[in-house]
Amino acid sequence: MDNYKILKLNVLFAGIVIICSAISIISVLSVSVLLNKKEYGIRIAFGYTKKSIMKSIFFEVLLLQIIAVVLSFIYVYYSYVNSKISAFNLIYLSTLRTYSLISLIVLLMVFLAIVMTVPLYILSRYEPAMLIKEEE
Amino acid sequence: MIQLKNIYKEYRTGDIITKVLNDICLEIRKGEFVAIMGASGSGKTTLLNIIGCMDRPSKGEYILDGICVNKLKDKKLSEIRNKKVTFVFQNFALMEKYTAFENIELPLLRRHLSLHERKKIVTDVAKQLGIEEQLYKRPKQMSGGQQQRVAIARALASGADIILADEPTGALDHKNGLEFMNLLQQLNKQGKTIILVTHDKEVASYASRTIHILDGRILENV
Ligand SMILES: Nc1ncnc2c1ncn2[C@@H]1O[C@H](COP(=O)(O)OP(=O)(O)O)[C@@H](O)[C@H]1O
Ligand SMILES: [Mg+2]
Repeated sequence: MDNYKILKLNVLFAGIVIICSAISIISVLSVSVLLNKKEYGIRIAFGYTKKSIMKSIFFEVLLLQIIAVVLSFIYVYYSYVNSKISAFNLIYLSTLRTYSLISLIVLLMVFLAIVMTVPLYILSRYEPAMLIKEEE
Repeated sequence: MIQLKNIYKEYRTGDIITKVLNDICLEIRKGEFVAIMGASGSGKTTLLNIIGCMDRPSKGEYILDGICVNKLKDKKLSEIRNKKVTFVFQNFALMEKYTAFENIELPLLRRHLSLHERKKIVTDVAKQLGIEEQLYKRPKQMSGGQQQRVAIARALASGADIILADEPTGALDHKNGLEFMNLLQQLNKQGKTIILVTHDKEVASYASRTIHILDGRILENV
């Protein structure tokens, strides 16, 4: 019963962390899209499509997230391997390897989709001619 | 050849509709040097953006070398911007985070060229414009005249035959401005079609034809 409560608390905590980080990543990405909009406009003027620019922003963020996920997975995995606690270690590790890994990947996809929507929507609303305009 | 037939452009912001271009009809032949003059807000930039496929007309037909451009998809338009028409902007429109080399290289990145081939094209145009010493500087480290040369080098690197210049001398001092106009004239003699937007009579005098535009309408075709 006690273990169950701790687990529930952990899930709650993880949920809060995920939501907070999603919000902060969304705002950072939105600001960065706005800061770079002139560069996007220049690229479009010389032969890029808006789609190709959105695609490259998406893959840039995807790459960063994959790096983050791999690092955190490795960290958690080895902290289990090295912990002395118990008989449960084997179960933990096998859940990590199977169930957790898959849900992690699904979570990453969902997280990425949610996080990318806002900045890409902001960018999509600009006409190419508007992007390049100087505003001071 | 550029043919504009009854081009209209309006912008919608909420309920307000701004009519920017009104029934523009215009023909520009290959190899011409045309100046477009008009007061601020008369629609010059909008017209140039439509010619440069950065924007689409609300109504009317735009035919470029026999192709009806307003029916094309984004992808095709981007190819036109990459190969057929190219821009020189008033504020130079260089990417601040990149070197002159990387800026000039930009149109070449959309083609399947090796670094070696790109390097050759970039150094060739840089030599032609006398900026080969500046290639590894960033825009902030260059003078206005040098930045405008980088901008024209980028336009030349694309190999496009039509150069659209939106007040290209607007951010230059008088001497650099005239130098730049001489450069444009030289390029025109080498066969480039040049469409220049300006509100400076002296600058417009370099062109072989001047078109006046007022409130989105063409006034005369002298
Ligand atoms: N994206 C836009 N949305 C609404 N109005 C616009 C937009 N772009 C330009 N305009 C309006 O169109 C008019 C003409 O603009 P522009 O073509 O830039 O003129 P010019 O280059 O001759 O100074 C201006 O009144 C401007 O406010
Ligand atoms: Mg203008």
